[in-house]
Amino acid sequence: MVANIVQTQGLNKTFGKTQVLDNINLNVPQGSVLALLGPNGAGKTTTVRILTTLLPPDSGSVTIAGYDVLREPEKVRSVIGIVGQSISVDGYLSGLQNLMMIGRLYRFSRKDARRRARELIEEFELTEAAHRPAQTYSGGMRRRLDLAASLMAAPPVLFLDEPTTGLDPESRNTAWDVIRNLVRGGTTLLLTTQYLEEADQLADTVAVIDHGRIITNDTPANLKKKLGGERLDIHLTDPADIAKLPLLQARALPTQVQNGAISFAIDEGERGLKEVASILQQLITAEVAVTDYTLQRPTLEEAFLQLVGTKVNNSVIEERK
Amino acid sequence: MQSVSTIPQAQQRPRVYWMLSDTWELFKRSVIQIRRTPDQVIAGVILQPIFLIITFRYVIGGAIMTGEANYVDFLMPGMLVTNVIQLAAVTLVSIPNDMTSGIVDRFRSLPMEKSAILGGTVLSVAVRCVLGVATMIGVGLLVGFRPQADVAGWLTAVGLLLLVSYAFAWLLAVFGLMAQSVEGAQQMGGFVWPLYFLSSAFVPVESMPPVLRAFANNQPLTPTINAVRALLLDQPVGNHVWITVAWCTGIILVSVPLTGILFRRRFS
Repeated sequence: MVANIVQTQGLNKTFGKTQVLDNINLNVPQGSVLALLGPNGAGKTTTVRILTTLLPPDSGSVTIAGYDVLREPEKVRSVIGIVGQSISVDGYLSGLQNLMMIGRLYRFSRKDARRRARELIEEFELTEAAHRPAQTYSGGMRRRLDLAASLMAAPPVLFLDEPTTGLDPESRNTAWDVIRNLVRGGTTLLLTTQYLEEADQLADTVAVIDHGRIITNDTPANLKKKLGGERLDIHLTDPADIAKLPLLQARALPTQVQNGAISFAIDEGERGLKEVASILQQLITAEVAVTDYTLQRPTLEEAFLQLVGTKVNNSVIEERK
Repeated sequence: MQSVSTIPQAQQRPRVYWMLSDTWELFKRSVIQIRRTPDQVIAGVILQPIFLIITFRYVIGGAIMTGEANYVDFLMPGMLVTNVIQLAAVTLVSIPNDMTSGIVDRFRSLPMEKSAILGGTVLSVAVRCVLGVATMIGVGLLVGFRPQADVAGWLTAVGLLLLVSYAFAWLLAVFGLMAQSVEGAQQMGGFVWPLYFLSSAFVPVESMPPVLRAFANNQPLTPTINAVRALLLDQPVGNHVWITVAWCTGIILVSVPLTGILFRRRFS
């Protein structure tokens, strides 16, 4: 058996003069979840398209379940499922018709295709809409149908390209539940996302990608450690008061003490809670006036600043709440 | 999740079986699209032909000398051929439409025969043509068209209409794949208009100046129209049928591999 069910080595891809992928190496152990985290245009979708036989790489190799993507694309296609960013069901066909067609294209018998289609329609709560044209579905329903279509053959490896982008919080939670269920069932998952939180929630490993390069490849816990976890910002009414707080000044993040603003790196969990309590207690004891205070996680933009030291295009990063 | 035992097994069959089966599945998809867009069917298959027949029969026809006792008898075969080509041109729009949506990625990621992706769409043109031909003949009969053909003549004529529309659907699919956008593809459809008018569809070729007459005599629609006309009016057919079949075979033999090349190039 292959330990890494998805394996890429030295993937490069150029569109015209732009190098979109630069030496991508990824390994996904069987049954685990890899999140490819990065902003728009980082190369996430191109990577997924190459891994799923839709686009040939300029150089480098990919094997899925031991099959080479370039030499045995048909074998690869029989073990993967893809949910792309654009909806890939036919709007004129009903949900059931879409799934039955896909089942037949997977070479199932007519009877098997119908039975499997019905199963998935029920599982994804589309029963009432099963006979309506898919173009009448809501955005969330269409995504569920799309996911159901990818699961017709219960593929051992599933690729999800930004599965929750554009979904409202409730639909996002539903999608996460579905994804967790799949993982529990043993499916190996590679998902791309722009959201740090999503990677944190779902992935065993997070590969951060920017400008076609993997910047770091680590567990969410280690990644968060690298990123410094939560941050407490305090704004003093009188900047001179900082002199009354020698202990706090020593603990503050060095670059972040200016004009009365002090920032502290806060640990995860209970330790962090105690830290916050002790800092606030010292402020109260010293009787220092505070204009404002906030506790926040680094945004993806800040994370990138820390990891790459380059500025990420503001417009493409969705602010975390 | 479902337990693994409920996941169907892929059947083992010869490749030819899957080529036909996959084409059939995608053909059914296109037919459902036709059923779900009655507005398109009414406009393209019913209203447009009625308008054209009335215009040529009653507005322009009076000024055209064909040597035929009845101009509508001369006109209708030309109308039938130009109309089925017009219906075949649906591939100009539906193929680039598919290409720009996610559905082609879905199909390409399945272990199916890729030739069926275009093949199913092209085949569905036949359904539009049968509807179109039936409407046209109905309207034609109302305005005085009196075909003389026997059953064999009818079958041959309808067979030729289906063949020429199938061939042009592939040819137009080539243009659809070359277009950068759906709008661009629609513009490319304009190239078939000279074939309609520089043919024997509406006037006898003999009435044209020599250069245009030479073009008209050596393009695929003229022999098709001549063959259908001779068959329906029970006149001597000559070798028009065979010339039509040769043209269509040629167009298919060139267009099908071209669509394959263009399709693959799009995704590299």
